[in-house]
Amino acid sequence: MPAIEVRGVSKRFRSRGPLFRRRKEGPRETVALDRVDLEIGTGEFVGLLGQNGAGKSTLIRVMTGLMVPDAGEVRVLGLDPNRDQVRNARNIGVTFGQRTQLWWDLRARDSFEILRDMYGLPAATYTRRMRELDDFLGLSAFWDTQARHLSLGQRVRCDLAAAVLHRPVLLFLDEPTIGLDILVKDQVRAMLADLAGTGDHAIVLTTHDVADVEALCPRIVLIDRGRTLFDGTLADLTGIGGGRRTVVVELAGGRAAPEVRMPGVRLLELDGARATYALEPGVSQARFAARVLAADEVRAIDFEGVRLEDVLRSIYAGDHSALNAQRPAASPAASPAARPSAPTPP
Amino acid sequence: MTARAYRLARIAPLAERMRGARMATTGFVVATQVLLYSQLWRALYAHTATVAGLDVRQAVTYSTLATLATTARAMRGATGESVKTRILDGSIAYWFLRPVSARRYRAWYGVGEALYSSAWVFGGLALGLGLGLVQPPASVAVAAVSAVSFTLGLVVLYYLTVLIDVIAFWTVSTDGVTRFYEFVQALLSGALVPLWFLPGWLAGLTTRLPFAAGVSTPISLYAGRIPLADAVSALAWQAGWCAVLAVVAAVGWRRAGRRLVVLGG
Repeated sequence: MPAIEVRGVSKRFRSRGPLFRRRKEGPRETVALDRVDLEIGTGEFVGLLGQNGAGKSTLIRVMTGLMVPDAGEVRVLGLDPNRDQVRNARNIGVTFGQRTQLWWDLRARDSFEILRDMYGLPAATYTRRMRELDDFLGLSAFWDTQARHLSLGQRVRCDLAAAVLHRPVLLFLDEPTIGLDILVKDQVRAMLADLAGTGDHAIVLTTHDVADVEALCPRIVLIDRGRTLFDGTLADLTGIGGGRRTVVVELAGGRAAPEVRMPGVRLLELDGARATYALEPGVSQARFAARVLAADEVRAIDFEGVRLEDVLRSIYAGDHSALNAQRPAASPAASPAARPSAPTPP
Repeated sequence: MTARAYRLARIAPLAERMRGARMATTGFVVATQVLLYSQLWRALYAHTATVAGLDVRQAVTYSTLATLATTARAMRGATGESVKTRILDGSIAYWFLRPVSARRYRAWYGVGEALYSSAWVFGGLALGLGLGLVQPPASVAVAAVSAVSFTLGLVVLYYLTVLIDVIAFWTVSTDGVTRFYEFVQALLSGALVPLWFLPGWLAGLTTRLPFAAGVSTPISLYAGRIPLADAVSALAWQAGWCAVLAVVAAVGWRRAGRRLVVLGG
């Protein structure tokens, strides 16, 4: 049984505008999700990507049971997350970026103790987990501080600890590293990678931080205007696994770079001794390099997969050719056997 | 009380303890109000022994207890955990993502708030008795009936607060409703002016409303305004309001879970 099953889920929002203009303007309707299908298995680490307003957060809310879809069905470990909210809560952990679940007037430690009793954790288990979380996130330096006095980085680390304290099978992370400095981001990523490495959890990460995705998410689900645009591996999306690449060739002695005539190879830019080529999927890097090396004295050959950031930028700008080159749009979820494995701790 | 219930009921008092300055302010405001109102009542009774069947000691007793019952609660409510504040900061989502339902969480939190405000009432009552501001109950029976009525009053006040709060699931902001409720509550609960000073038709109506059941009824029983012989009827009205408000609140919570708005992306 998959950890999460989303079948044909749609959600629309209706706003009615100010009271005295309603009749004149009428209700406005926004499609947040449009027949979304998604299946996530235990042990998967999925990056849920999309522009602002694409429907990512709505999908997270539907999967966590906070919202009821207008159509379609959601099952989380076999439960309806909205109707079985209390039982479902034991299986999931959630963080929402800038929103804290800590009690503002209390010390962070008090919040952890409240959650311990809410989830009914035995004292020994709680102590052991807090020690583990402290090792990763360095919580003990500030867990006796009132939540309102914590810095953003401290608060986010506490919120992450609060979300995983009961070791949920499913973890939903909505912008967990937003506004954090590099070191805190590293701490958060290390903890998530360790959690994913156990294979006991399914983790859904929503973020605009491409580095988070590249470091953690073997599988990417791309949402655009409420629809699934792409569902596959990070390698498929970026072209690293046989997709499009670019290669920069620089000749020694400042001589003008040659034009390489090979099927699937296209000259993108010629700048004196430097030439940039695009290699279509299927073109052998070795054959390309051999051809160039045979023709001239080469100073450097630099192969690059397409960067995720560039792919996302072009897709967000409306260019879906990158997707078409990799996989059909809205492809069905990968089979469990074909799913990429969780990342290893850095 | 289970460990979970104890932990949730402890949140409000613990939060207050962490904010010593606010507790000191509450103490100052309560003490000032009690002293000013007692002076006001003494001035009103300067040329008469009884007004509306009450002597000056009964009137001051009523005023002191009403101030204790309402002010500490109002001071706490300014920053307490509420649906409205949690909807506005977006963290209301967490109320629906824990293995304790939002309704039960709010109820145990409310128990803590009630215990906290009761500590002010009983502490102030002991101090008032010591200073001679408050008269002791006329009998053990009056004390017992007043205690039961006070407890029912806390339940009524809790449900009234929750009902106003739950409206935020539909309206997001409840500022207007809250202001209206506070005005009606202050006027019709007998917290500022004892209800028997209102016009006859209004006084008769207000004694049957839940606002009076929260404040005026228990204090009137204690001060002797409601005789012991009428206590059963008064308690029955309070219990009735508890039941009605509990049903309405339960319906509100059930519907709220499907109307949840989490502001922001």
